[in-house]
Amino acid sequence: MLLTSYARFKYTPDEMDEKEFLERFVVRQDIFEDIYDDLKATDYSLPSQHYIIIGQRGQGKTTLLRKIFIEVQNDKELSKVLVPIKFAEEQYQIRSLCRLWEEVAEYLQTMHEDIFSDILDNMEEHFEDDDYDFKCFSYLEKELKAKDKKALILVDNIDELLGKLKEKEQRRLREIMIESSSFRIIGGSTKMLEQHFDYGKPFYEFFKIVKLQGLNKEDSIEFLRAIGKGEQKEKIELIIQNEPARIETLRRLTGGVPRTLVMLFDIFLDDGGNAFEDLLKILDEATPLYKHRMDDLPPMLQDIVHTIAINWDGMYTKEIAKKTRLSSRETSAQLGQLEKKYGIVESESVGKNKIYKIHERFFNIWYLMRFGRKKDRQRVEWLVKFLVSWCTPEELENRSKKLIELVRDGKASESYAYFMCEALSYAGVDMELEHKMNESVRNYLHIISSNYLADISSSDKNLIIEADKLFKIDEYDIGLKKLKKVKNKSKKLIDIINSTIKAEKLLNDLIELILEEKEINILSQRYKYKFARSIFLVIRGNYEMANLLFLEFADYCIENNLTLSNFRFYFIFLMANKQYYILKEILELKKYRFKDEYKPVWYALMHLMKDEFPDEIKKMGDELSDSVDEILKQVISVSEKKSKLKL
Amino acid sequence: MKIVVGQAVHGEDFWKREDELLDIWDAIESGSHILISAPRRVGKTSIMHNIKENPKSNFIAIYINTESADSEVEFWQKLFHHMLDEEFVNKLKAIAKNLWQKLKGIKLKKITAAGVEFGDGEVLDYKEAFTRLIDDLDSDKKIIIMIDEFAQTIENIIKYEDEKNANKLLKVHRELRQDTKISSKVAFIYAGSIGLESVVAKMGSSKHINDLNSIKVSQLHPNEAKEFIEKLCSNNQIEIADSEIEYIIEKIEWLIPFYIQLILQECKKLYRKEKNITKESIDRAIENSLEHRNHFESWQDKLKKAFSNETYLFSKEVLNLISENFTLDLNDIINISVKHKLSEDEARETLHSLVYDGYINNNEDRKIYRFNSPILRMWWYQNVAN
Repeated sequence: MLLTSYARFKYTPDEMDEKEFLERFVVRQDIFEDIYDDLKATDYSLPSQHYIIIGQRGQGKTTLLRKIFIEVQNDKELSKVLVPIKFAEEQYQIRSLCRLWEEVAEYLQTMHEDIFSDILDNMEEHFEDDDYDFKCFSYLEKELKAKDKKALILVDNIDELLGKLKEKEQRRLREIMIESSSFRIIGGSTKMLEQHFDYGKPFYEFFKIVKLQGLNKEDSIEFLRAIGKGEQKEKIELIIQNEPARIETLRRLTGGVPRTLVMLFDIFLDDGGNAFEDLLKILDEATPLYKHRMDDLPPMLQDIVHTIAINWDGMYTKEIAKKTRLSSRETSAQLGQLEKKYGIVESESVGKNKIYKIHERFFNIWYLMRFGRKKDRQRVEWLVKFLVSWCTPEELENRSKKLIELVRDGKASESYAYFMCEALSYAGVDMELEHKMNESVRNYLHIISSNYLADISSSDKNLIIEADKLFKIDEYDIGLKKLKKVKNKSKKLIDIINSTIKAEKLLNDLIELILEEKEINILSQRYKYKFARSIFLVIRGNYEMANLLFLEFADYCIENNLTLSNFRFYFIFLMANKQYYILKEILELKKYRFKDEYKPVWYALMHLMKDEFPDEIKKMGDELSDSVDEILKQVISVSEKKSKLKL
Repeated sequence: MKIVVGQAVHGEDFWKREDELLDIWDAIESGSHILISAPRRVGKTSIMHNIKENPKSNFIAIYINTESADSEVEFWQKLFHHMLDEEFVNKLKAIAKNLWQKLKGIKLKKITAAGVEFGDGEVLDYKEAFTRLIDDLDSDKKIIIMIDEFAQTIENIIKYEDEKNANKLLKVHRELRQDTKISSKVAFIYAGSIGLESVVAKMGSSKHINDLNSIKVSQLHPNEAKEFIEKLCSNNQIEIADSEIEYIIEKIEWLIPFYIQLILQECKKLYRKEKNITKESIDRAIENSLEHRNHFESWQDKLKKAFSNETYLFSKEVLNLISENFTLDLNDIINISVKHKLSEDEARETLHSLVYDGYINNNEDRKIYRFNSPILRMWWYQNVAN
């Protein structure tokens, strides 16, 4: 890996330097103060109110716990009574209630040796006692009381710890919480937001649940101001001053979740991909939780969540119903469940209708990255939306150029190179630049044998070149598919695609028509298509190719002694396209004797070329005039149809 | 006065409850032993804390919660450890010298199934040991022993040991209470979020508790509730008009301090942003309060634990229907019980438990049942019935 995770501390607040951490703590002030005021106003001779802070990943639970830790530690008055204890995020060793008290004792003995020099040692003496389980808390409590201290236990992911307690321990904890004034718990939890979380356990009633919501507009600005440093700070300030709407876009895109906000902001500022690696890592960490969230849903709701998540932007009930093939009524009812019961989607009223989107934007990002189709816009839609809303066309161009440089110097991480290249391509970069970037990244992924190589999409330029080649060999189906994949379709390209779609339909009609001809039925399939395509190519204006195919077909007929009236079609189409000279040449080819076999065609042509060959038409016998008129009518009819179809 | 939700309150956070306290003190002073009965969340534990923290001058109160005890041994371990707890005993020095002198000399060595072994090596059975602690006590104060979640302990013993042992514990308690010497020195108060009467009735042992003086803790009177809300609001710097207080009272209906605290906690959050409490914001506060699943889910969980599967499904369906239609006729309830293969007696007993535990009542019309708390009804309707 080429990265150093310099930015990671932003997302794990515990790793940040204390001074810097405090400077950056600018949002969630009211919630902090609520808890802190309570900590200060508490009568510590009585059992206290316990707290659990719940919120989506990245809402700031760990930050808040650390802030409480630091402030209590630095508060001269509070620290006389309270000893803050902060456990690491994962607490695998705590499997029982006694282990929790032992961990508290160990922390106190290690971190506050001056006060609690042998608290754990004293507990250890009783490990073998029959009534240790019953009394372990009282040993801890006794020592705390002797030193006139109360333990303020700060635990992240408290649900995991509490979830391991056996039924009896749950009752015991409740007992202790009712009776003891020696400790106070403040926990953090993401899982407790989830619908499947079981709140039935009796001790949960003793916690005050504080829910963290997304930041509002002012908080987001305040927050971004606080996180920037040096050059970044100036850049942020400029955006705040001149383009505050951009911040609002970012806030909406992230649901105001601070960590997601800062991550996307970092991706905007950072061009090496470190921020991006961090994002991937955090997405990875969220997988068990998010997977559980999906698995917990009944199949019908899974389908609806999938539909909305893949779309990224909000969707009307009607659109969701159409995609999931459910009735509108049923869809509405299910969406109501997803919103109210599960809290997975949120709605916004637009007149009488409602628009639904995934509530937790980070979950939506995870979903797209994991389940969005490869080589498709879906997977990077969130990043595209971000880039489009945050970058001017010049900035997009600069980012693309920078990416080319980075991969050239081997300084980009593979995931960053891949995802950014895809997203920039969809965000709309000049076709030549996009091609160059795509080639550079492709080459880089090849050199480092990256798995992403198989996932990278073709550049627009390549797609058009390939489509063109396919059109030339009449592979309209495949060619069209290529053209449809072009990420930034110009108006001209859209016109081409539309007319090709029409042309393709015409080709199919022609083939049908020709297949119906009895005489042709004896021809091999391959030659029938050849004939149909030659006519088709005339329609498309590719005369050279058309004639080549037509003559191959004619050769085949001669070899097999077939004379076909259907050749007439080809000639009519050439005339309708005003290709008189070329038709004259063909008709005059001695080998095929078309001029003799198709006299009405020849005279029809001569009628059309009468200014140049006035004498030729005079040679026509009267008996042919009806047939010639018929041909000319057909020519007019074809060219009229053609202009109607805008071919 | 703080807004405390969930945790039992102490000291100045406690709201009067004058009638209940008078009843309890009257009973104690007349030499009765007491059973405090009330549905969960009504405030029994807070009342006991108040007794402990503010005892009348010739009393000492001990509070013990025994819900984690699964056996008779554990029950007695808790009781003895509490009574001989160093901290508790030391406190007595200043307020009850005789008692202090008596207790400080007693050292507990071990409490096992065989009985209590004191420091001198003597092993006595629980009753004898308790008697020894109390017996020759020339106490200057009467001891009030408050045992919270006692019915839970009985249920635990039935579950983890057997009914016989549960019965034994009940019997020993009865004997202690009937011992005039003990009774003159100790008053027992039992309480719990499970009805002791119904647990004991199921075992056919009602005779073991029929000597208890049952004191009911009921909801606050609207006037008390109003005063309570006013006090909480002014202490938390929330300005609120009388009409809005009345609106809260009307909406909460079942006026136990818990719901008042829960709704005011949400009002406080809204007030911080909006600086105004309106009927509309009260409605929102109620709606928001329903999100506190930790305060509601145990209502459902408790039924799952307390009832057999069929009875649980029956009671759930009854509550679902009441939550949807606001009321339900007894005839409909009996009809539903047949579907769940319960006898009429079993159905009535279940219904009685639901009334006792504070889910529903039939106060207005004996045949019509409704939720006690409209807030719980809303939660149930949104989260269980649908």
